[in-house]
Amino acid sequence: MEIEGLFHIEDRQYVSKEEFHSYLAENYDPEAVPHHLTVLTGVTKYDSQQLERKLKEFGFEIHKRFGIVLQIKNVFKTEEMIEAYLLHDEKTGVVYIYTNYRKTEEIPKIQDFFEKDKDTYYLFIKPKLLRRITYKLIEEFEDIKILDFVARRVKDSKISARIRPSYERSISYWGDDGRDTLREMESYYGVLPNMVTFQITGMAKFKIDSRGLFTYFKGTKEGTELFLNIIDEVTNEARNLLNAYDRTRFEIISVNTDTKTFSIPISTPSSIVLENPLAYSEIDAFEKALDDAGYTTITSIAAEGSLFFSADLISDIGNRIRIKATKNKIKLYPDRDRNLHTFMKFYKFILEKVDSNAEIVL
Amino acid sequence: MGHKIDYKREFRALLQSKPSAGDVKKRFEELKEEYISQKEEELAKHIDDSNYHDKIMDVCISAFSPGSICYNNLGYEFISTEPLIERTYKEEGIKNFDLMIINSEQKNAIFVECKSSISNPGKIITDTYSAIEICHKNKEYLEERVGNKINSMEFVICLPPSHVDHLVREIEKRELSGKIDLKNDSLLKIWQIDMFKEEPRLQLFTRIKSREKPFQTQHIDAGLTKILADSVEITDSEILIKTHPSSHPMTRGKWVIIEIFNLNKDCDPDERIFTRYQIEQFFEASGTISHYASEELSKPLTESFINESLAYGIIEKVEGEEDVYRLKIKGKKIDTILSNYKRAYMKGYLDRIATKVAMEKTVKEFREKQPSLF
Repeated sequence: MEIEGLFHIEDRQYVSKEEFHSYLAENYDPEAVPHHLTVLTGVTKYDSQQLERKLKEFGFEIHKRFGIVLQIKNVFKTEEMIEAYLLHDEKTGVVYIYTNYRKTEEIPKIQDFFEKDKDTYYLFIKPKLLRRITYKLIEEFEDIKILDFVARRVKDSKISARIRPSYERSISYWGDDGRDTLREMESYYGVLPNMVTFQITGMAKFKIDSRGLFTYFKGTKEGTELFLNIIDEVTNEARNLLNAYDRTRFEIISVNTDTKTFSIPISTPSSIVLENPLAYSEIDAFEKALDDAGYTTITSIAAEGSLFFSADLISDIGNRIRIKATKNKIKLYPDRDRNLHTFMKFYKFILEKVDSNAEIVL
Repeated sequence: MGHKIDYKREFRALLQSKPSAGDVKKRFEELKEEYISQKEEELAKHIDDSNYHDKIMDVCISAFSPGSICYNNLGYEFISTEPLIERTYKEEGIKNFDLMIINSEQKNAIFVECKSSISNPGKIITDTYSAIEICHKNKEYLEERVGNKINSMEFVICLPPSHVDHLVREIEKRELSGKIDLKNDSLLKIWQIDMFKEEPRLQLFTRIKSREKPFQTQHIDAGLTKILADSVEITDSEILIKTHPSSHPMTRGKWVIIEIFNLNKDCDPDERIFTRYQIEQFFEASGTISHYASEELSKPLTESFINESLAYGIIEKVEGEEDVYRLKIKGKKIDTILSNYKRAYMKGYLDRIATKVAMEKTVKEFREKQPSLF
């Protein structure tokens, strides 16, 4: 039985993301669907069974299964419902959610699921990557237009800006000349794109949002394929992130003497390399930014010369972490409640508040 | 030799003197305010210094933790913070080192004293040699507690490179003058720890001019000497405990407050109740402190927290119950509670001392100005 509203897919047992995306590229018809397609991407440490359990706990029902594609439904209030297809690629840990539901207030509810659970997170797109994708598209498609964009600058960013470089800013632009304007804004105001809407005449119109949200407004089969390939480019990053996460550890190690055993708790951190060195003079602002982002400082110390900073914090979801910073590197040490949420959120925090070009070390 | 004046009693008596009671009180409050505003910054700095010292300890420990070169390749294991501190609660005059490292195969123990700054090198050296003597006296006790025979003991002061010269010069002075006997087989060794590098480094410092023979600055284990002399990169991994027995009580107290908060997560925020036993369990748990006598230490650490917190109005006893307490600090979320705790602690701490000092000063002033009152 077709649920009204959610786009139709062929009733078969899809066995892989590749198969499902091939099917969509071939068959998804934007004209035949009541509203545009939004794809949300996230990452998770759960296996498919655990993920399903978590979805149910969050309030989603699994209405039907198409192999690894699940049709899910959630009723938030009696009138507001969202339906979507969900695909969990266990190989990569990426979760894709496809929906064409009208009410865009509902989409944040799905993001909520990604954000609230401790072993999932939405797959945000780091500024460097979004910028790279943007300029690659511009290079590949001569006639491509940027119809609107949002671009941001981190406070005291060292990305060059001709106008008042010390300011934190966000620019929202709408106009057919978005392509030129984006370049100008980057040059004058030192901003990096955060959300961009592209139009390739006769092929596709779509939007990429750094929160891991992709919107497909209209296009041909070629356009759909391009759209899905861009999603792939982003989700490939997920592998790196998950690898880095997998290398972090918290263990209680038994240290033995001749007749006794001592338990030593050891934490192995993830490391973020900064492109813009962090200075001792910036630590106050850094601590304030941590506070604003929901981290509670238990103790912190900072020493000058170049920089040594160490802080024990409680994360936004209540687990204890330690961070250490020297001028070029920030390390995040997990405690016994090591989880993906804390790892992803911290990296996102650094990208948004400290250094847009920071990279997780692999 | 004069008798010791009981300023509290004198002050109370002064307050009874009808005509001047108002003046006495006013002056007392003034002096108290003055003292608090002078000492507030000093207290904050003292806590900061203490926290920095804790960090040096953590980084030094990491150099001897599983995953590190010293641990994996040479068998030097960090075993405990503050060896013998458990004895300081019952016995006078015990000074202890910050860390104890054991090589269980070689039966070699290294005791490390971490220093974040050197303001009085002479005193540091004297104190450290006292601590060395105490370690020797307690060798069998330590062997029993850590479960390993100890055939040799070495003693180290570990400090940032910027302070090494200052300390070493004083050591050289004392060794050249004979104040420290160069034939002493427990000559202090020096490690410098550089925390500003991306990957911190630990290095054995050997340029001590008063010592002609290499063995005087080197470790017994040539392998350890070689690795440390070349400067060893400290492993990425770090020991993740909460606090040390010698951490500043306020810093240590924060972790207890978090524990109380967690124990009462689903309760009425005005009724955050806990027992002495729960706090003792907290200190004993692996991951809170890292000490061979954590069970024993849990009692004085808990006692200290409870006493200070009662005195500063941070907690109160629950009526009719033995060893049950209620948190008086308000706040729905942990960040509010922690910041209120810090404020209450600093205020309580300063208030207690300021009261004592102001009482004394008031009495002294009034003795001078109005001796007829006495």
